[in-house]
Amino acid sequence: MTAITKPITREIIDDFAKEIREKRRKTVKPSKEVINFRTDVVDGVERDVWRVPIEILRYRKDNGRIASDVLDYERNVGVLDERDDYAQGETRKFLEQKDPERTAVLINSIKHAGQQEPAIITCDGFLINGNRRKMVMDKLHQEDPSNDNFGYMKVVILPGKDDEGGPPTLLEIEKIENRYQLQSDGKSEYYGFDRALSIKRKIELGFSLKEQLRDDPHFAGATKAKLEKAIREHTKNYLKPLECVDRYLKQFGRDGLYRTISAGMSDREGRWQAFIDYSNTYTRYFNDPKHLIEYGIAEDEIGAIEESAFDVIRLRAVPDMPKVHVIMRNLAKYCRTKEGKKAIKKIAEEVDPVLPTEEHVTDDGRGLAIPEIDAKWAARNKRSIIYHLKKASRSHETLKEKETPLELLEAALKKLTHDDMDVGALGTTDFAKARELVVSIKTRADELENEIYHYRKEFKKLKLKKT
Amino acid sequence: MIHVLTENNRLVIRAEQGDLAPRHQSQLAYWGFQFDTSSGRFVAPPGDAEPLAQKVTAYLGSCGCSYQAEATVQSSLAKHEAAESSLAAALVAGLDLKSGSFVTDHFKTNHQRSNQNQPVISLSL
Repeated sequence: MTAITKPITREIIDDFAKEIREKRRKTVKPSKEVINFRTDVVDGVERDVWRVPIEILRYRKDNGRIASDVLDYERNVGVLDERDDYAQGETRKFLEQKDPERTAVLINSIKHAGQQEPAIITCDGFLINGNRRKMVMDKLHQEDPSNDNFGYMKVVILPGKDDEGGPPTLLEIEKIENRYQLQSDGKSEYYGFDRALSIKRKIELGFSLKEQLRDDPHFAGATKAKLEKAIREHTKNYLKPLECVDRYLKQFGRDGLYRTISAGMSDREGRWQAFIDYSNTYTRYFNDPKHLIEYGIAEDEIGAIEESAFDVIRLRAVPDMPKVHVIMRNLAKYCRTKEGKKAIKKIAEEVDPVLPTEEHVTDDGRGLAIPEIDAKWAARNKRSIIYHLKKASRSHETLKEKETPLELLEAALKKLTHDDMDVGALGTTDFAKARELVVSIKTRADELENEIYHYRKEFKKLKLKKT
Repeated sequence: MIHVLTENNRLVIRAEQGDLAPRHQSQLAYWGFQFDTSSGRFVAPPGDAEPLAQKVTAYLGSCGCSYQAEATVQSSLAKHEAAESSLAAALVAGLDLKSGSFVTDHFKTNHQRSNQNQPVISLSL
């Protein structure tokens, strides 16, 4: 997408705008609201709050909460035209599936107390803030059509063509969304992956990360240093992992199919955390020449290590090993020994990223769904992935066991001073054995102390001779 | 066939579908190449293309990928190779000199080297 150099105004659908004008009612109390649009808050501009029939309000597909679903759908199936009922239905489904637990809470809240805050819509009825509430109120209205409380939404309507200030630009719409939705105020935090995609889309529209953060009340009045830190953190937690996601999807010929990464917060098997950890490993170890030397990894080995890492992420679960995101955190360490690195690189050599086309269909010619293809791919490759990964892990563990004398002393002291070292808890039959052990420890500690004293003395003599 | 070329001081890799395995694409991404979907090519960030060309061609060669470097890339690679062999010769001469077995025939003088239009490594022993 090309960056916008001058503000582009969102196209208004005249028929929809006319219908909104004709059917809106001014019966809401309080009838005015100050919204965070342009300079309204600073200037104290109050805008009218209207009641609008829910059926003429429409979901907006460029809603950060469902960014991964929309991008995936448009890549996989086709462009969603917000104006048609089918696209509206699909968008509603995405919202329903996104976070069922939070939706259940919202249903109860609206059922009992009704809609509290007004939603914000464009003059032709597209919701900028309030998509989830419409989804819930639609559901409640279907269950109880006679209850008008669910048949109308309280909304603030943004200016249209002939109104003061004119209609909002695309950038202004993104800013409103940023102010109302993306900010983690405890009520509507976006799932990390969708947030990453949303931040990226805003950047592509010309709304830089710095501006997005400046707009966030968390950073209101933040010093330059604090803002810079926030930029670094957001880059680390959202943008860099997203770059890894894009490379992962490319590896498996699935460019843009974001739903294969994670469907949302309720998707426990989601891979997003694995990408955050892999991205941190990449930045901290692979992009740092010092670490590369320390870990004995050559620059031109990173490609193969990355391909293997993505194979592991795709497999998702490795028996008797930590979770995939923990494996990604330890990936550089697994490559620290020659055998470990060789084993990791072997995964890339042995695993084919894409199954042959004929295996994408069943015997009766039905095309397989993505989870079915994943299962088939896992069945074919898991043996190799698990074997080599475990080999690398064992090699890392062996290296860990070769500890230095200082590490061993520290570990011994840690054990002796451990909170659980309560001799009062000893069983009466263990007293003799315990005393024997303590005496042995004491004897060994004295021997070591003597040895160290001796070595130190020799070293001092050596220094004196040199001078 | 993989083509290695330069455009506006940027190194560009053009490859047919399937020429570059995912690990090769990841490697290119590590070196800062961006995949340009419209042209289907990998484009490096602007900067000194010579050392990157050296890295990329050495990598492709070591992976057994057949590639073709365009004339400008080839000449910069040849320049780089000549500089490397000159450095290697200088190092050998330096070691010989240190061990007291320096033989002038084994090492061409800078004057001779510059006459042959080759990169010059000056020794300050």
